[in-house]
Amino acid sequence: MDLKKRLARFDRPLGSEAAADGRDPLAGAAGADPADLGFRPLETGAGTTWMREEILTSVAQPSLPGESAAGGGMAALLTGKVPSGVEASDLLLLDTETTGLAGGTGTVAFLVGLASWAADGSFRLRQLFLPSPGGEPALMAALADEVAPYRVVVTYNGNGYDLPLLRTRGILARRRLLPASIASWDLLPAARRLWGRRLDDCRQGTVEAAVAPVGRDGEDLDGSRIPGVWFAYVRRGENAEMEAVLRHNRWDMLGMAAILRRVAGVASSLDRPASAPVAEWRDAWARARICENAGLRAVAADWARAAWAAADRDAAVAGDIFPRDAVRLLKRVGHWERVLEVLDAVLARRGADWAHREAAILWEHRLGRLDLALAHARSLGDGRRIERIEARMARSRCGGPSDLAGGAHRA
Amino acid sequence: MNLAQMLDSLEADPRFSRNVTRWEVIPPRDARVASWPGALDPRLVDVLADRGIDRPFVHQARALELASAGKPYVVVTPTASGKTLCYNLPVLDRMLREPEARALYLFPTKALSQDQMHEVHGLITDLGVDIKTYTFDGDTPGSARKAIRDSGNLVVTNPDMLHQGILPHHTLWVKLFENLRYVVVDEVHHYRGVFGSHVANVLRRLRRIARFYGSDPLFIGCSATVANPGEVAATLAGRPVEVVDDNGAPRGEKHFIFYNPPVVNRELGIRRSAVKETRAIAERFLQAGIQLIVFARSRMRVELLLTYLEKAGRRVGARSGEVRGYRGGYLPTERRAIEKGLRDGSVRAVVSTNALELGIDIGRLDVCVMNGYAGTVASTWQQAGRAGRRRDLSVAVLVGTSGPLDQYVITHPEWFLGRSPEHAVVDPDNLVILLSHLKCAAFELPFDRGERYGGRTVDEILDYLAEQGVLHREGDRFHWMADTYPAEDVSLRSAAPDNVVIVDTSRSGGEVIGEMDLFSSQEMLHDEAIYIHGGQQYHVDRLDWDRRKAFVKPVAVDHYTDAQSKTELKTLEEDERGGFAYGVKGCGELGLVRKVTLYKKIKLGTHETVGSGRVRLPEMELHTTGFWWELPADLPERMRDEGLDAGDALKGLAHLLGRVAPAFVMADPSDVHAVPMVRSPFTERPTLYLYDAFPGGVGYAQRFFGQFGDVAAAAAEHLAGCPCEGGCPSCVGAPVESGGKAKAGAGWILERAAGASA
Repeated sequence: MDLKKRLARFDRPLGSEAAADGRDPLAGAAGADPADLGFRPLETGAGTTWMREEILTSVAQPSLPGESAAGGGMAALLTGKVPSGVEASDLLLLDTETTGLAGGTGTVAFLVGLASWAADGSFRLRQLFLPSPGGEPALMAALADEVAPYRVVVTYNGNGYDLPLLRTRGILARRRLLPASIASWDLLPAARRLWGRRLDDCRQGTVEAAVAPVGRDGEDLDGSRIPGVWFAYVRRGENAEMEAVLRHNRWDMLGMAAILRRVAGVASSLDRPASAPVAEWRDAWARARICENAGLRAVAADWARAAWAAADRDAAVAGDIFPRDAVRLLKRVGHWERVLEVLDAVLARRGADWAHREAAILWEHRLGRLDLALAHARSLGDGRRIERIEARMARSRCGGPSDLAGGAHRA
Repeated sequence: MNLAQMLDSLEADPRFSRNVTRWEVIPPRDARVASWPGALDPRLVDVLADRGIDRPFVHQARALELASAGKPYVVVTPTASGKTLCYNLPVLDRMLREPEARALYLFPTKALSQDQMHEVHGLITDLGVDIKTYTFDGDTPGSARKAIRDSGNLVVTNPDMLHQGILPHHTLWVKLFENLRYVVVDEVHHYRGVFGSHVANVLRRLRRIARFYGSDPLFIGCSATVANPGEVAATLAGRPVEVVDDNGAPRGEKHFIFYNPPVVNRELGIRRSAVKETRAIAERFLQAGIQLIVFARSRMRVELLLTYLEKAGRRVGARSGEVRGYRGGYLPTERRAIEKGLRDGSVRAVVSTNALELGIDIGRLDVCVMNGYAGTVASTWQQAGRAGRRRDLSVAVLVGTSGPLDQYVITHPEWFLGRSPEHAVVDPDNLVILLSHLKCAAFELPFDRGERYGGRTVDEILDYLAEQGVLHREGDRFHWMADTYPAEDVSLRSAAPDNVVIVDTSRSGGEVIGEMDLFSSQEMLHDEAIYIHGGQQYHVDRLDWDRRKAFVKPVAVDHYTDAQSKTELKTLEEDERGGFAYGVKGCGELGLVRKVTLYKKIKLGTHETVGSGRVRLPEMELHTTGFWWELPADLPERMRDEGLDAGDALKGLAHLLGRVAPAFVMADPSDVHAVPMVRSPFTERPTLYLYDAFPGGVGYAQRFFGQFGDVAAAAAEHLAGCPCEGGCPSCVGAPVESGGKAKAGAGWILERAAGASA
């Protein structure tokens, strides 16, 4: 029997694009010219690849904090290393468009967006394009050349996605794409630290819209359709939607530049106290935590205070994480009254052992009101603490050295 | 009472000995040793000497010799013959000389890989060298994976993980693939049928990737005894493999007792419960203070036997914890504790499913009692091998159930004890399986036109995949062109992509008690069917066809159900045709369309039809390979002259062959279906078909074609030996299914086949 017939009988088509759109994958095959999309050929040692370039003067550089920046500057926000003396012109922004999220060796990066700031401050945006899978070695060669002069690759979720994928493509093309010396700045973890507390998710589009809008037009492409657009281009030379993919990638690059500016802005002013009043209390809280991790205690406490002042109280004490952070930070700088305010707010809404414990300690050791300390210890059911406080109270009633001396509650 | 005295008392007890169909005494044997090859690293020699191993057994020496010559091999020696050293030694020797060298160990199950890890780890610790061994499976935490990928010298995994987790991500495993020197496949005989055909392809993909990274690993396999270990291993290795089976390990005297419970109902061929007989035999050993293991086929039977033996244990003063159960579903820590207890003697008896059949180390026990045949000769020997030290006396008792295969084995012990009759059948070129793995392979690395895969070019299939849009052809290269991850769609274990899951709704939360292929499920699990599972009747409340679930609950009723179906069977292509002793045999491609139409309720005992109902299920189509036996055109007339009925005879013969034939190819009875036709439209004669119940077939039909003389002879013997009167489920089926003259008729045909060949 004819092998083709037998194959057709057995085969269940995968959920592939070809099966999905029901069209003959070989009809009107190929012959598409990347030049129609504005690409020009670029000769490499491994054949011809395609690139298009655009120079924008309106995209401002990020102002990177100097090496001596308080709190470590960029290092406080990023997970990657920060090379010494790094400047805006050392950064290469990178974003890939690929044939799917499945991962593994069968996923191809068919479009690599790259962008950098030239010495004159202009923003140079390039796109390397793969018109068909056979051209991958040439694209990889061009990409390796493009990456070589830079010290830092900036991505959005690149550590989780783009860079491992490119590493795989490099191995398959037997080419090392990313030298060990190059640092990776992934903006996703920074965005999570800075804005993750208030945003529903930290996808680039969400973060951009909230903190660094770049004016994407409403016709931006749904990312899940991107693989299909490339398959249609390769198989049938369909150009129409590829424009939308290129535009999407371009917006991603511009968005990344905008987010990078915001991140760098925070990094440069990390030691600045909160300017009252803050607009987003969760951002202020995030800022407090970042400062705390960077060893800026007083600034951290100031941001915590600002966050507390601006917060919707119910929302702020709905969970324990914020009040505990606030109590910890405020205690470190001795803001007892504010600490009490936070604890009272928590206890007014629900019982919380940790809040009673904090309050008992505060009244007993800092504010000298043993009666109030005892009340909290009792709520907590902490027998040893109750015993100790009662003993202290008994001593002071017997005319012993007063524990209350000089410790009257100021309120 | 010691074991020898115990054997004497059993032999002298007529209640026991009259049910014994064979008492085989396997004589003791001395060790045969060689000397270590001069090139073996002296550190290894020292470590082995510390363990009391001064010289290798001859098979171990042969393995080392082959490894150093770079020749692939498979070791086929019994349990406890020092098989693992046959691969651990060459691998460690290589790593001592080449610290960057890598080896991949494949075990069919996770439990086994854990166990082997311990063993090789012990050797490495004693060597005092930095050879990193890791298990990489579904339980490996994400945080450990990178270290394993980068620095694991010896990576222990299973075929499923290799297929879905390693090969499609080979760029993360560059170090492993660049330095891969050995691929060790243990339990080779497990890789048969659909599973084996898949795994052979996974290994083809592995070699393809290794080539990309410039390595060519040596294949080493280990197998239990089957008829064709070299053939299976060669299929897995992709090249000829030498069989190392000259076992040099010593062995104590072993008694293998075949025990058949007495018949209690001749009409239905029902025997006294094997569970009760097993219990009685096991209790005698337990009472005598002899350590034993009891194997049972289902979890339920394990629990049942455990309850009995615990009670018996208490009567003879066993403390709690001295009689234990062991099966899937027990926690790993619990299992480890039981294994340890068996080794140090603190556990006196264990009742287990086949979970303990594979190489997990529990030391050696005195006695093994098997409740039912383990399904294959190889598995049964592995279970029996749990009893038997290298010096002392040991005993294995096989207690037959009423099942047809059990009855065949128990009444034909020579079939079991002789040269292994079982062929492990592997067909990696089954189109369905091949196609799936070519997709996976193309995902892993582009294909070049003319590239060889599994020893041949696959251009035609690649062209087909390109036409389907799954691959993209550019010049002479085929690239993966879909946004899916093909390995995810391919399960190595299930025969077909989906099975029907059987859910017992009487247990809390609904417990899954089994699975069945779609084709069989229509006949066995339709609404209102009485389904028998592990000796228990279940009523099928509902078959949810779309969700592939059958909801059942246990019942005790006086009837069973019999589904009626219409099968259209077309021969699409005849691949082979040849004369047979009686009639003609052929094999080739078949197309089947079957519709189950109705079922009958049949009363046990009287076989009256007490009710019936319609079955509303879609038509099933199957395109597969089949074997057929064409009988003479005038068979019905000839049989009529003898007072027999050809239709009944063929039905009975189909029932019989459908149960006997799978044993020759190590298949489950559900993997092979038999269809009788009084007049086949293709052959225009009375014809009996045996086909693979898996799309495309996995090679069973071809094997039957080659071996049908043996299969028919075995069927004839089994029929002749069956104590029933006019047919029973153990042979040609109950008379109501196959007609009253089925047994005589089937016998008449088989006699002709045997007589003509004699």
